[in-house]
Amino acid sequence: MDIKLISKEKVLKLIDVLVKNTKVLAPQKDAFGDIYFKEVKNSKDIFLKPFKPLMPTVRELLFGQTKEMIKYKKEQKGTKFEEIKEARPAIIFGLPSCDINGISYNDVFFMKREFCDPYYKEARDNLTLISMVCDIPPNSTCFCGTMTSGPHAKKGYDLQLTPLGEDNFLVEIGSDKGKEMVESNSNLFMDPSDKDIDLVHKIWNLAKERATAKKVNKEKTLEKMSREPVKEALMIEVSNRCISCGACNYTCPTCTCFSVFDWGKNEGVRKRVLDSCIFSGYFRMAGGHNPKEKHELRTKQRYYCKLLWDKEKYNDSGCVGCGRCLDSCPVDIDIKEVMTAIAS
Amino acid sequence: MVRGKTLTTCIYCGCGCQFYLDVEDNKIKGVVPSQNHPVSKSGLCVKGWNAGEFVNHPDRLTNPLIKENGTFRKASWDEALNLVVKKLAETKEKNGSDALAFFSSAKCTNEENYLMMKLARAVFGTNNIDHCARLCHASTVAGLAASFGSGAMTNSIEDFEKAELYLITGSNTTEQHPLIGNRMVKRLQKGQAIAIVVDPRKIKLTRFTKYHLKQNCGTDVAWLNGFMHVIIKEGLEDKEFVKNNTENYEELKKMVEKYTPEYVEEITSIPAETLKEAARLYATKRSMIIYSMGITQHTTGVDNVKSCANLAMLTGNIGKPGTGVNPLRGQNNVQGSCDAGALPNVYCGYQAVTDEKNREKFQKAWGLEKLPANIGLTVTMVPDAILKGQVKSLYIMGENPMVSDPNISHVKKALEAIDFLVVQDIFLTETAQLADVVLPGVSYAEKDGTFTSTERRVERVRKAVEPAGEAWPDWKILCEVANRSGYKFNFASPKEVMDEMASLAPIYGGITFDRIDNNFGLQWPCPNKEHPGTAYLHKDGKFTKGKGTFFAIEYKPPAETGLGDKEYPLTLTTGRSYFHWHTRTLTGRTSTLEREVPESYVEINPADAKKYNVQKGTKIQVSSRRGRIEVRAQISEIVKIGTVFMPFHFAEAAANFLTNDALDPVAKIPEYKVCAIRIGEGK
Repeated sequence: MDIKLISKEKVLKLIDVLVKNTKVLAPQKDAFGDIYFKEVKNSKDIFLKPFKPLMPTVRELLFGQTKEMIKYKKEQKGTKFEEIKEARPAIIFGLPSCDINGISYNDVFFMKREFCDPYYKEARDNLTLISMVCDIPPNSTCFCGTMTSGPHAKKGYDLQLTPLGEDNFLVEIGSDKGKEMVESNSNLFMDPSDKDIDLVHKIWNLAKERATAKKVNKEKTLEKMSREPVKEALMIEVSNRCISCGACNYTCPTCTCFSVFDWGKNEGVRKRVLDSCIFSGYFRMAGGHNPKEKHELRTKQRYYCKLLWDKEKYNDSGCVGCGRCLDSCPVDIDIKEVMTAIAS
Repeated sequence: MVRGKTLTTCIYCGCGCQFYLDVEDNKIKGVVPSQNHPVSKSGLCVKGWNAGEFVNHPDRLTNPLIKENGTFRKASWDEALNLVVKKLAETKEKNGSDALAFFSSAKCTNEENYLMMKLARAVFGTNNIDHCARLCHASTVAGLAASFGSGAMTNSIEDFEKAELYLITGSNTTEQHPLIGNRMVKRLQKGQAIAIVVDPRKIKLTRFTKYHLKQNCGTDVAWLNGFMHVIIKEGLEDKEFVKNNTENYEELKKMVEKYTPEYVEEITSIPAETLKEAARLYATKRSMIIYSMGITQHTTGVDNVKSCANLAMLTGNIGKPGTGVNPLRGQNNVQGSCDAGALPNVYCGYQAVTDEKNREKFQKAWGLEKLPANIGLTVTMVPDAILKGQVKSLYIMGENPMVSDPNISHVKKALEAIDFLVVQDIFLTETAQLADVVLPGVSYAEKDGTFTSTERRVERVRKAVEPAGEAWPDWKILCEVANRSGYKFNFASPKEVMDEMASLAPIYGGITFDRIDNNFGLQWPCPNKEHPGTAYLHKDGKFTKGKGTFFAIEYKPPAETGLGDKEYPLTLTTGRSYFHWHTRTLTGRTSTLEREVPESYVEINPADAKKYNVQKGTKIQVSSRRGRIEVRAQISEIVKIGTVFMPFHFAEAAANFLTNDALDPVAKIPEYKVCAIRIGEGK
């Protein structure tokens, strides 16, 4: 295992060094109590504990709510296009494993299938990810352990930190980028002792236990869904409460649907806008016919896509157990409760 | 490349949610709800989530425009402002101050509304200042002020967690105030509260209750009197509260005697037994009344509001947490625009212009000899006044009467006939197209200020990006118009405007930017700098005006209804879609929202569809005595038989070609909620 040890003090020093050459985004608390990724001006402002931003990292930095893709202009000879390039290098410090797993999922969706999305790739190539293991779930809605995705990411990070007691972090190196970062700042890192290794395994186990406290039978839910359709009454019950805000999709680290709009008739911008399968316009066809006009059919689509179809396509359900769909839901629709109802 | 988040207040409804605008390189990348804001709590509705998009739209007005020979040309600020000032001064000189009228905007900040009303009154000497509150809650402001002494929502949004019963009437809360509706959904679903929905439409909230009372449109006073009849007859009134805190009870009691459930059923079509059960429940629980346009937009709007107040006082459901009469204000800052005095009869803080002491106070503060004492014209009276030659120049800021006002043909005639029209907006709206001069203002994301939400929460609006092109913040435009008219508006920032407004409006007395810069705002009344703000009004039955007043109000039928009308046998009621906002100036330029509802529609009950041979999705003719439009039919159980519903958002096939411009005699609010129509050819 490629592992190192770093003190909390030296982590801040590392960031001070990194900031000199690259933009570093790290969790910081504002006057209104919210914690989110913000450009680091002073490393002392960093919130140096596991945290979960309301918006997943992928949404903030890779596949955003809106993205301008090309400028176009109709001219006599034809239409002129100009690609809009925006991405610049950035280091993200302190993202949780649900975000690492979300990014890995998006990497496959946008880059590793038949078509590689140039906008995503450009932004992705520019990112360096320093993640943090949530030794304690940062939020009561977290259930990543239950979904067998976290809180200790298996891959996808450049460096992964685990809080080791009060003073240190264990550092796992996950990529060449990460390795280079450690090597060029080798004076800040130490080698962990056997005691440290013992301790980190204990912490990982404890963290896993805590992240699995919310009981949902994932296997049974998926198995049941593949065998028989979910009950319509359940989907109606959920839809009755749903106020169609789209937040469950907007905040989901593994939702990848977008639509494309042109702004301007002869001259304008083509943009990509994050979409949500809870909207009726998502399914409506040009002639006005809508195969999923009923709200409950769209609700059903969301659970099938997230839980079962992702499993069929990518060998695992798309839900990473971050709990953001519940965090941001104005009517407290809880995917755990829905899964339990499906399984029972 | 600078990336950062700015916390600001949503531009859409009156819930007052706050979110962060995520900005990079002066462009809005997205919206993130505030996790700690007492209303948002990590959530937003679909409009809030998409509220950043229109700011960057290429249609934004980026230069002043002057119309020459029927077409607009770009102009410099100097040229445009000088022309505006010259024309307004000419009108004043030739035709007098009252030949000018000013429409302020509930989309703009408190500070801008204060400046607009000061511009009208102090600079041009007229009380002809009004705004779209006239079209939504004018009846509330008048009605609740008469009953309680204060025309605002009595309780707070947090009170929805405390009520045992919600009486929801004329409010499709989950769609129009989603972050209030959600609170009811959660508690109803868990059985922590019960709902009585009185609404001609089968709105979402009806799924959580067996009490859906479908009244005939325009019969609200009748069912409210019926409730009170049952309560008094069964001795369920709060005798102590009535005795100690109210006046005029005997008159009310006498009046409601004849409103037996059976009589009420004849008028409203609400089954007598259901009415009885609902009335008993309301009287015996900790109950909140929640209402919106379904109560106010009637020729009996003020009567409806006062009847709601009667019902709350009768049962003592007022002045306590989890109770009250709760009008949900529509626009993000319609509460604040009223507070700031953008109304023809009051200065900021609801101080009547007809009271000499108030005039003296403002004359002194503004350094003037004389302020006008007459009540000015309302938004709804201006078209007639133009056509009669009384109003010659009109200055409209951030309103679009060419889609929003009733009987559009009439409005158009007036705006085409006027001598001089200035429109200040961020897009070239249907109204701006008729202007002589267009002044480009900025969106909420490009300026500082405050909005006041429906729960009287005064919160900060913070600048996140630079103005589009050459556009100016609206407060700056208004200051320049005043300065060039020879009256100095010496304000370096909106903060200073609020300081002046707070010094003159006692309910805002303790509100300063410093106090609300680093928190989620203060709820008025907040009379001094130490005051923590007020979560609910009329505490312990001590009404703002002393004793609460019962008004004995008889039912009057609407000005026009399809019921019994041989020529126009169906009743049209209008409202909004969840996905659009008013005249679509903003939501029509937001990709996801526009895609969701790309065109207008009319909802028709399946039985009526059969009767009139209407096929789903086909375009049909809908006509009233005032106009005719062609619109796509949606066949839906949402509406009851005999009633059809249309959203008013769409300029093409605008519902307001059909609506009736008959007004409430006191509040001058039009009867958007009821008119007679027919399917097929007509006027």
